[in-house]
Amino acid sequence: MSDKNSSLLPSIIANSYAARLGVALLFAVVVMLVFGLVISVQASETLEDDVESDLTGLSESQAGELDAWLQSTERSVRGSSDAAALNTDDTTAISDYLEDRVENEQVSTNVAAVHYYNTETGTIEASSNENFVGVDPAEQGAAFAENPPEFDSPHETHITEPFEVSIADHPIIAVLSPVTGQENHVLVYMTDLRERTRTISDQRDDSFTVVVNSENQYIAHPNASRILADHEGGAEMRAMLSAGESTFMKMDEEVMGMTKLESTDWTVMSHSDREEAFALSNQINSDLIGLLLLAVINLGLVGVTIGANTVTSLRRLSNRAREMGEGRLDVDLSTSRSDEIGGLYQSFDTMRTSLRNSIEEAEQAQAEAEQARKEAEEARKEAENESEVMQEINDDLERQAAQYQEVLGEAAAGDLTQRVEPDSSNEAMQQVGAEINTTLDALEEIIATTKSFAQDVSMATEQAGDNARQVNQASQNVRDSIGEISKGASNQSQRLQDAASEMEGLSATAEEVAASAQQVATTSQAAAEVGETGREAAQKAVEQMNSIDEETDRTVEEINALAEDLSEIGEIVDLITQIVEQTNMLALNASIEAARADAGGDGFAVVADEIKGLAEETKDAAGDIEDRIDRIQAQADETVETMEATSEQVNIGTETVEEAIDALERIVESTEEVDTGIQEIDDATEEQARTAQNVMGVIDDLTDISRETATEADSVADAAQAQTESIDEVANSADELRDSAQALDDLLDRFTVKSDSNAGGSTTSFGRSIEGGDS
Amino acid sequence: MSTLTTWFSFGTVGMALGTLALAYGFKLIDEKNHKRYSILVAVPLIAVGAYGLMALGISNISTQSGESVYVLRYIDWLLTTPLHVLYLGLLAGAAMGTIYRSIGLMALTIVLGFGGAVLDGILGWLLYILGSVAFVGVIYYAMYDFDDAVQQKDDSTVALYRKLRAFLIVLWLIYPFIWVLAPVGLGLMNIETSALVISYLDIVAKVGFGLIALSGQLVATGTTDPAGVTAD
Repeated sequence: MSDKNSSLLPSIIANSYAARLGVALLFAVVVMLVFGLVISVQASETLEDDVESDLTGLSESQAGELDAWLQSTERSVRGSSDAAALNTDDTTAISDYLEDRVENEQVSTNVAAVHYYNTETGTIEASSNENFVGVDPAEQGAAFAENPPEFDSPHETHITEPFEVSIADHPIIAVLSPVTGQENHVLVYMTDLRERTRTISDQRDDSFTVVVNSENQYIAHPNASRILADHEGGAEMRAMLSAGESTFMKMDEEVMGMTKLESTDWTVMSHSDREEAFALSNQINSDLIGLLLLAVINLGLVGVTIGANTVTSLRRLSNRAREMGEGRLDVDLSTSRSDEIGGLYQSFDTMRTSLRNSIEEAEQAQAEAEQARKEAEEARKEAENESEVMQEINDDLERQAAQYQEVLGEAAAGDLTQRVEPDSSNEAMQQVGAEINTTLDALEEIIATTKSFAQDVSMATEQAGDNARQVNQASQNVRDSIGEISKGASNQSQRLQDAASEMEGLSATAEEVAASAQQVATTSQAAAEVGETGREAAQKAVEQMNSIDEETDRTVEEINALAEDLSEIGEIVDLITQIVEQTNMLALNASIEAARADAGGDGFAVVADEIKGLAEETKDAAGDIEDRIDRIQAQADETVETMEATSEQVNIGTETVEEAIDALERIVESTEEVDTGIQEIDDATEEQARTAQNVMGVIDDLTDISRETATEADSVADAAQAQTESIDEVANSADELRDSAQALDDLLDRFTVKSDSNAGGSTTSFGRSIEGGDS
Repeated sequence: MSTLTTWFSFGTVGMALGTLALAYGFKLIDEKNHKRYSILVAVPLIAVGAYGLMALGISNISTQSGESVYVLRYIDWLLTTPLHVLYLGLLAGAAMGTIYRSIGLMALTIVLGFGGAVLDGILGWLLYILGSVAFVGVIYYAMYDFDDAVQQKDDSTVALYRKLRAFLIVLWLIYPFIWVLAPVGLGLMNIETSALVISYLDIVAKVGFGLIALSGQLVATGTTDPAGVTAD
């Protein structure tokens, strides 16, 4: 139906099943109607023909009968007129004869009476009915009397028009024939027209027949009273009929068959009621209509029930299908029908189920495909991301590694200011970077601090060395003086021993001076030895520190020993100081003596003689020397304290170096530089030892000086003065050294906490830095 | 008249059988629908009475034109056709005002048709035309007002309503043609044939309507009983 060209029907019909069905049913009704009409027309025509032939046949038969009757009546009257019995004048005999013939029915039917009529007189001379004898027919109005026919031959007959006479109680047709052998006499057959008509009209129940003559008078009529009455209309038609011809007429109420008689101008008209005549036709038509209506009813019923059901079902199914087409697969497809339509519903249901399954499968497949696509996409993205990340990590690692390599290279080359950029996505790398930076920071700080410390120590020890040299020089001078004093004292002692008893106290004092001087010398030597030992110990410590691991402890011990030696030196210096004090008193005396020797020539005896005065002077001078020695002692004490402090600081420094060595042990190649440092410290210590020896020398010199007295006293004083100043500086430098050592200690203390994780690697640069610092 | 009696007896028997068949339907349908369903049973029952009396030769009166008119037939129609319209209206769930108006028009159609049958000449035809107009009014109500109302109902009720409506309209439209063709009209069909056709049409319209409605109700209530489907 979608293709309108494929259907010959207009679209409004083609598009609707109901319209199609309606048109089909309508077409069936129209066909039945047309065919019914054809049947009706054909049947009606056939029936009409039947009716026509029936009626004309009736009228023809009636006409025939009437013709036959008239002819038989004529023959009868002609025959009777020839009868011999009439050849008489005896009218009575004639009447008898006629009466006899009538009674014996020797005349034709319906002849009521036979008359023997004298045309000349105009009277009936004889008659079968005696009532008519002597009657003048003309008076009665008889047609044959009023209008007498002319007869040329005795065998002629004449039939009169119908007429009525008063003497007879019925209309009459008279048939005349001249009587053979009797002039002016005719035989008249007088027929009973009513009786005749009754036989005509009563032939059929459903019709009636009349006979009309050319004068439009009823010859015969079922209603006898109407005989001779005028018939209305139809005269022209009757006139057109020739004798013996028949015709058929349909009128409003009735139909008519008409036949003209052959013997006269009468017309027989057989009427039939139109309704009755066509009753069968009407019945058939009625039945046809009824049949048609029943067919229409049944077709309507079919159309309404089956058609409407089908249309409803199909429309519903169509709507359902459309809804399904629009995607609503859950439409109601139930139906109570079990026919093809029901099958269609079931097919749709099956189709829907199949469709639903297919859709579900398709949707599922689509969902799966979508899922798979998403997963693939995600996997691809992840792979890309991972690849990128890996690439980034890789690049990052490479970059980081390159950077680390560069920075470590720089660090290896000695540039410790470089730092790695630990910013990396890789935690391990970041940690490594951070560790490197921390290591480098610590290394740099250690090296810087150590460098500074070393410099400070170096400077301080250098200064201390210088100072110690000066002190040593002074001490040498003092020793020389003391030597001289010792010699003087020896001499003095020998001289005093000589004068022992006298100057026992002075001798003891001289012995004490000598012993003290020797002791000073010995002590100085011991100090020198100790200094040498300290230097060696230091050298050994340096050497031992060169071997890092095992030597460190010993080095520390040696340093401690050195410290102890230094302390001992301090004590010796103390002792020396005490000796110096005593020597100072001797020196003062010697000095006074020397001064006197200088002043008074070379005789010691003079001096011994004047010992008391000289002793007093010596005592004064010794007091001065004591003062000076006290000052020197105080300065020495301070120096010792300084040295103790230095020793302590050196000890601390040694510990620090030990700790530094410990720390630097992990940094594999740093020991060499430490060794160098320690070598330098050793050198310094050696210097100190030397200085101590020098001090002993100085003390020897001082002894010499004290022995040499006067000239040396000034230089001793000067030297002591310079020594005081130098020792002040030594004190200052020692302070600085102490502070620096303290700072280094603090720093290295902090470093120790972190130092466990740091090991080796920077020893070389450390050493170089120290060397750089030295240079 | 024997033919007429035959047809009237045929009508009586047909209506009686239809009434019995429909009365059996009470057992099939829901209790709550009995009231409405009783209309369907009442219709052929009334017709049984009318046809029975007509078969006994009672109640025919003579018209102006001399034809016989069966008063009982018109009384039957006067009662049953509004009942059918009432059932249709109730099925559609139309407003009672609309139902009453359509019932009134239906009754008027019958009354005017009766007047047209009794009276002769122009006046008779005038009444006939007026009756036809009234019937068109009934059709209008069934096509529009009732139809609007039934759209609120479910599919099966709509289908049933449409089917019954088409049934009534198609079959009832045949009556005016019979009227025209019958002796009271043009007289192309004689009274016996008319009686046969009308009897048959009456049986079909009344019993058929009832059976279709019964079948539809059974379908609507989900009780699928194929026995009730065959209307004739």
